[in-house]
Amino acid sequence: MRRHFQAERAVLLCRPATRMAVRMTTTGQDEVKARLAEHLVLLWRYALVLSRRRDVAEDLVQATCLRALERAHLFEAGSRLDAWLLSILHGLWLNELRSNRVRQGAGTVEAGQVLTMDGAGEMDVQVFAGQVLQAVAQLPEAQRSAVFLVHGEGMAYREAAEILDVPIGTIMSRLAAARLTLARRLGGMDGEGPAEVAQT
Amino acid sequence: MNGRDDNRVLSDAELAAFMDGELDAERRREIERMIGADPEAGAMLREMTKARDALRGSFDGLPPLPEHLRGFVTEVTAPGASMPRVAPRHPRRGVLALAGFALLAATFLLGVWFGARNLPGLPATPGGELAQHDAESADDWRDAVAAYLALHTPETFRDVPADDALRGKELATVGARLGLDLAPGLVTLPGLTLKRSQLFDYDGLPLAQIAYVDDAGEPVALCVVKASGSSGAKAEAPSFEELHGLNVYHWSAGRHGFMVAGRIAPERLRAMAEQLQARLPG
Repeated sequence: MRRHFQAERAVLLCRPATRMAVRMTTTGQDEVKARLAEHLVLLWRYALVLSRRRDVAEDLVQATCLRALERAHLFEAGSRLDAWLLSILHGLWLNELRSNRVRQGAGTVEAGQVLTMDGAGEMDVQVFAGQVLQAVAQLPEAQRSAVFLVHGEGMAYREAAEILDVPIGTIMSRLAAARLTLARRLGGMDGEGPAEVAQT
Repeated sequence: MNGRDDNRVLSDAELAAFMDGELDAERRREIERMIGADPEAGAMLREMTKARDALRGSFDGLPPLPEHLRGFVTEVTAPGASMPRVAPRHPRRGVLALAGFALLAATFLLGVWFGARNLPGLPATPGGELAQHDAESADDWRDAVAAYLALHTPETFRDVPADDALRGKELATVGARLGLDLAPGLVTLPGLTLKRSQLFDYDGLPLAQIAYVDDAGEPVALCVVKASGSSGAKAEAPSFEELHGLNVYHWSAGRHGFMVAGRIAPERLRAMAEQLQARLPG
């Protein structure tokens, strides 16, 4: 069944790819090609944070690089390449989640629902070494994303919101919830009011 | 919800934004005053600050970037690189499928483009077999198409309902675009059930896939590409090759390049190619 979906998806992807294949002249395209490698570590880490699996992350990074090259003509030269690449990676990840759920017989679901329902996936425990990373790995995916982008990469809320395609207020609440949970898991809160807040 | 939210004074989210310097100056001053007057908010702020500080640099502890990914990017971004094919490390996983598809689609259509440039009828290759003088480009084309076709399984077309009217309509559409007469009677083949005809397009250069399954459900495909320019190919017998685990016969006629492929015996495939070659003059 899976290969069936793959074949269908290939058909869908053929059209946009046609526009990519030979139009290599724009400066945005040149910039993507020239600077893609600079952002590989960033993509790798974000893929690990999302998927929590090394093998899936490898595939996700490859897919992102290829998609970026396909769409390089759409990249506006001089704008934030890192954010552009991250949003591609995030979109690929969401599509993959959706397809997985379809394949598992759960039918189509909204992206937000997928995000909040994530967590049952198999995790590669070796990826998240150390107390802090382990605590991060146990956060819901939506919170992991926000934490990584804002605290791991130092992005502004607005930038994270654009990459994740959510309102800034959503970033704020995800970060607050993540920090409260982390504070509790990391032993920073011992039965005081904030710990109760974290559980609400 | 906590008491602060109930009083609509200060939400956790706003406290987080305050810590991160994401609020405007006025709201920031208000919150500073609130925190000064509210020990609970102050305690919360300290705990959240600790958590944030703990996060700083923690992602450096993730596993390092695998070298092969760096090599991969070097390859695909090299000057003159034409989106090379990648050997999937985990060929059955969906994410890679995305990579594979992006790549296959790219390679496929880029291949079509190169192939088409060398199609018979174009000034560069008057009268030759498809890209005969440029084996590499021709191979790219067929290789890419075969790589895509290799993804097909008996399940791919299993649920396509039998619908002769729809099949006829698909063929008419595809044939019109290719400039070929593809009446059902011309492309019907013994032992094969016609399943679907689809059209692809590369900047006006049409390419079609006409898919069949055999009695065992095994997919077999006829792919046709049409070049621009004048005709002039000389007829040659279909040539055999094996690509991506598929048997392939390919030939040229007029302005069209043809290819049949499947995981079926070469003899059956050759018979199919010869029949189609006789019926579709290009």
